[in-house]
Amino acid sequence: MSARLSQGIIKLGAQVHLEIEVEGTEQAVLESLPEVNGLTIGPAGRPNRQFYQSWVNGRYQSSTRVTWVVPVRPFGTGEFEIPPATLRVDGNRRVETRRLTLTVVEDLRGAELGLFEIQPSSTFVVEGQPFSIELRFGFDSALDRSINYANLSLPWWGALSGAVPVETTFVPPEDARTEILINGDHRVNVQVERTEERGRSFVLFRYRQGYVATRTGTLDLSGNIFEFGRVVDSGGFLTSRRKKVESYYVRSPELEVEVVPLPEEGRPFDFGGAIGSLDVRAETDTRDVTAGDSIKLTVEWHGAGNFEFFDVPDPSRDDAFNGFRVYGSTEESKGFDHRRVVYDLAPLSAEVDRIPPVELPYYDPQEGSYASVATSEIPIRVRPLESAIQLGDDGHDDRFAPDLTDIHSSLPAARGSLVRPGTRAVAALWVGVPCLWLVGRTAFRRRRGDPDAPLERRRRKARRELARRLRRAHDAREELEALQAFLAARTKEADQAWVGRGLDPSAEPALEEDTAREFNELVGDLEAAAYGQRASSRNRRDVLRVADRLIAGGL
Amino acid sequence: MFVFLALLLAVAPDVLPVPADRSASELTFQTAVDAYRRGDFASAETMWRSLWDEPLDVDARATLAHNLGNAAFRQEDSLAAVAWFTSATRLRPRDAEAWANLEFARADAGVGPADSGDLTSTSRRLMESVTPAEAEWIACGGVLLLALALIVEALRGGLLWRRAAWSALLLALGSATPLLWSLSRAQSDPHMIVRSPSAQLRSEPREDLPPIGEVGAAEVVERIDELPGWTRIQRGGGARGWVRQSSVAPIARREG
Repeated sequence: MSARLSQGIIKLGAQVHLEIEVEGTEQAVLESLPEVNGLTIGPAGRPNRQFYQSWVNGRYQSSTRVTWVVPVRPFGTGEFEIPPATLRVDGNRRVETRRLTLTVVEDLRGAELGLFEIQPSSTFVVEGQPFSIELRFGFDSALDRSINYANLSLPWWGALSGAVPVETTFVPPEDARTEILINGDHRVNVQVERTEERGRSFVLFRYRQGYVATRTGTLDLSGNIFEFGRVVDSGGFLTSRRKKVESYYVRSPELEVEVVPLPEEGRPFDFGGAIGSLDVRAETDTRDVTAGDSIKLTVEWHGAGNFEFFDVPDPSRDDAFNGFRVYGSTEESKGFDHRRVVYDLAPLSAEVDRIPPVELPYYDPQEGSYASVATSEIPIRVRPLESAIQLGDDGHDDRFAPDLTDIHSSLPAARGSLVRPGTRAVAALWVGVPCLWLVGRTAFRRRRGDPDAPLERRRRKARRELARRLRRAHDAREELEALQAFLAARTKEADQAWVGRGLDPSAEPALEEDTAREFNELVGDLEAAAYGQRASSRNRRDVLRVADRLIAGGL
Repeated sequence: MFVFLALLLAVAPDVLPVPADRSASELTFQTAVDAYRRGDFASAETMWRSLWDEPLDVDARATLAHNLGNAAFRQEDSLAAVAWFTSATRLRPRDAEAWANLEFARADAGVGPADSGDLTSTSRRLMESVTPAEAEWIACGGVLLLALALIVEALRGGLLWRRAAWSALLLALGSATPLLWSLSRAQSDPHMIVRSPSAQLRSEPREDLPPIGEVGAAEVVERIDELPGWTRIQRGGGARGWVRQSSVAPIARREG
């Protein structure tokens, strides 16, 4: 196993690699990397595995090599002792690399040829206050022809805890713009210009980013490196590699921005979080309206402030607007340097002759105190509605007032109270009805069986079914079959039980003799017509009449 | 029994006898009306109060309560008016004018509406919208409907008629609810606090004792006991105590 640095001495801003190799095993895991104050070591990434095999003196030999290349970036000068890294090989055996030493020196040449400044708009801001950070970096213009790359390393970029980036006015002109890489992965457009400083002419790049401080504390903007130099393309026809042949590093001075809380003393009750140096203007879409008509009041705050973050005033909570109905507000536009809101107002009466000022309290960091900015009064003319009632704030017509209904002028006609069944009668019903039902139901079912049984349902429907089949019957056979089905349903027997069968009065004591005789004659006629294939002398009504007599007789 | 009840409803005779001498009451009533029209509200109130203990029917008593409420209101005693109008709505639950006057007087007295419109208020008002007699008839009707459904179920059986019987049972239970509500309040003796903003509650009927609580204006309480100058009450939550007799006014009980 071996560990080494790609370089033992580097300039501040440059990057070096820690190479860890393990040979002779495939099972090797890098458990932990050393931590050093002033260095960023890692991440390790996936290792590179190589397999070697060869024949030596007739003998076959093979070997596996696992390699990690770990980036190391310093953030200060000095001599750094890098402790061992820990690996686990062959499953459970822990081994450590040897200690290494890295020397980081200031790039004096880079400091001479380069320029790097970070200028915040203020190093002391209050919570919620917007501020900007301007980056000024460049190199000696004499190197302009040879320098072909420039990068920024800003540890806090995109990870500034306690502040959020906001839009700025910084837009480089088209003819003086170029792209710069920040932290190797973020491209920004910077403005290019020339400047004279320290007796030299520099190619200067400028970039400005706005922030809003979101909580109290210290914002650390240190550890920044500007790297510039020359790269050349190397490699063959199919591969292309860029190799740095010249590199310079410039470090910016250490920088912190202190964020303090807003002072409580003097804070207005209706303070909505506005901070900065603000001004306001207002206009209306019309100044001549009828009572109740809408007026759009557009208010625009501008200047330098946290326009995207504060609460706009609500006129409905302002007593000065009691003569108006405030329907609401609409955000028309919001940016880093302005905020425009449209209020929808309606004057309630012709007595209203002006739109009161809309006041916004804010905190001025320059003055270190609270102040307010208000729109000017806007005179308006409100015409009364023709023949209209004047509504009060609660919507009632002020000309009228509610009152009691009048007394009754006479006693109602005398009459007795409604006859009442009485509570006892109701209770008796509640007890008696279910009991009677239970007893009656049980007795009925014991005697007659389940009324919902299929045969019983068929029996009840027999008369209707007979009428239906007779309506559809075309000849005597179908009529006879319908009658047999009726009889079978009523007696809960099969249809075939009534084929060729008549009624014997002695066997059916409930049936009258006349009924039984009429039935037998009817069946005889139908059978003769059906089997003799002649027309029946009976019609449908005769059959139904006999059926009704049978039902009445208790069939 | 069903036929008997149906005949009874169809004829609907007046069972209770008419008061023998209504003319004296009517004369007093009219005299009070005249006094009211003249603006002599105190005299009108006195005369109507004198009729309150007469054996009058429910309608007449409700009319008296309505008029007494107006007289109290015109004398700028909103809370007393609230008590009278509350009595009127209890005696004649569906009297829209009495309800309107009650809500108006409550608003004037600075207390919340009697019917706040929420589920509890609406349910309570629904329960109280029928008189005890009507509640008994409704309960009867529900049971008779149930009986009909049960008879058909016994004769026909089947899933359809069983469901019909269950539905009739639920309907009967629902129709009995107003009667149960009425019975639960039959023995109550409701009074209303007519002192603004509240009446002080004491553990004993003695002025020198410190108050143990207070009862808000227009709150309805139950009268438990009475001594000269003092009334013992019970609040809805069960708390009991004594208040000055002048702080409470009786509310008419539901008939019967």
